[in-house]
Amino acid sequence: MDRKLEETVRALLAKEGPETKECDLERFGPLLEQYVATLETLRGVELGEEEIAGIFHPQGK
Amino acid sequence: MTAQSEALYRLTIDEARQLIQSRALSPVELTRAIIERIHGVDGQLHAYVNLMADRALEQARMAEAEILRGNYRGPMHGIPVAVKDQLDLQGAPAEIRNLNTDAAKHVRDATAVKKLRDAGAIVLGKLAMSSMPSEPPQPCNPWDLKRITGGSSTGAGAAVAAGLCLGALGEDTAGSIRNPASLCGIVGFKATYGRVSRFGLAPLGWSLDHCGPMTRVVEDSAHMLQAIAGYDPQDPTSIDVPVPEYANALKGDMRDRVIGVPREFIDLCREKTNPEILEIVDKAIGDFESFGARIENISLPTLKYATQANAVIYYNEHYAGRREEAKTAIKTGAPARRARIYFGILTGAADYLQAQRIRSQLKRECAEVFQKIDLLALPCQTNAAPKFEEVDALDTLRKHLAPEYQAPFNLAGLPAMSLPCGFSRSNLPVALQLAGKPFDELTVLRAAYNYQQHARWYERRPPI
Repeated sequence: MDRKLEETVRALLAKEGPETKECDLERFGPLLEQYVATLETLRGVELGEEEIAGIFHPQGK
Repeated sequence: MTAQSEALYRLTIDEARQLIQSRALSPVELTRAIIERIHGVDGQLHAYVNLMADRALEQARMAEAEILRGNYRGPMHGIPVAVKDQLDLQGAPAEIRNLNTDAAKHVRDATAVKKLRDAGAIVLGKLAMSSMPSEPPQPCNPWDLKRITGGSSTGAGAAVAAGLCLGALGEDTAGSIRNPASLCGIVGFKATYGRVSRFGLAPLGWSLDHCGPMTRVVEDSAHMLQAIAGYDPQDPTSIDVPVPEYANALKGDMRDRVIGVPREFIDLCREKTNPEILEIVDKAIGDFESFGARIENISLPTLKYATQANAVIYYNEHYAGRREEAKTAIKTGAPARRARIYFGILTGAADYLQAQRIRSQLKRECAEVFQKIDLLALPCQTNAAPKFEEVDALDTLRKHLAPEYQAPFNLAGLPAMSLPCGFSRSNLPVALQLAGKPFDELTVLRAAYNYQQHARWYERRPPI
């Protein structure tokens, strides 16, 4: 796995609390890299003034 | 057809309900036949994780007595069904929720299950799903036992296709009803988000989860949806809109209906889609013209990001809802479960919100396109069912990280159905996907019924 990504994952795990299996980061490395690439692709989508999908209703539910 | 001339496990819900209503078939006889079928072949298929045969027979006896007293409740009365483990079943352990036998004493039926029971259905038990903590044997595809059923409603796909129940309740967060339906040659339908209650459904992604029917034929899907649809105040996302009569309106024709084909999106997925699938689906879409529909290519540019946006929302909501559980699951869980936790941890709030903004844009594009068309038609799968050795535990997650056909309709919340439309050269099922306007399940069902009656793929049965 990319070293920078590994450091990020370790830092986030330390912050969140779960202790991981030592072999996991190696095993899931390519998949996590693919996921991070997905996040980067979505960050690059130009959405103009688009707001988030409505999920909050001030009345009722 | 009479009950005597056809093996009972081969009956559709619609056939069985006619026999039950006319008192030519007893719910007890039918339930017993299905239980025998389960005992006969589930050792090979592994569809059930909890068969509650005694309880089912007791319910069947009650249904029979009620019908004999003249209290016929409707099409689901006396019909044996089963549910994915993800749905709560009164008194049953729920492995996906970590509820053991003791804890199960306090479990109530999920609303969809309760509604099926209120409609008189007989609940046989719980069906396997992907990523169960105990990792039971994976269900096998009834068309070829060396092949997967597709997930995550794995057991439901196998059970319905092989006659181990007449219909099943599945759950779909990124295609989990439509994927096994397409690989097993059955009808899988997720209605509009908010149409069917999620109460009692172990959540995967709150804003993406859909409970829905998995059946052999379209009319059965209509019967099951009729029973489970409707507002539920226990589900904060349930929407209070009228539920139309589905089954009685299936026979309407398709003249002047416009079917939109998202050609650019199909082309985007072309590289990973087996050409044979595209050929079969294109032929099926063309067939709609023969019963009066018009086919038009349409553009939904945001579809190209929809699968990935769905994945980001799914994994983040999943992690947020199971943060405590994740601390142990990341050590002991199955690989796909552990990977989902890593995804959740890696997703920042801004990434989640960006995915929600993409969702808004897709919703707006869909609303504009649906002013000009009545339905969307596209493939439902990239390949026919692969062999077990051709896939690994993380393939589903990889699938969610690049454009594919199913997840966009979870993101948009639109009704979407997997409908059998042919067979590959290896004799494996292939499906067409139809998606409709919000809360217009009826148009999806009607189009699917028209096609089904024209093509009659349901007449082919798996060899088991």
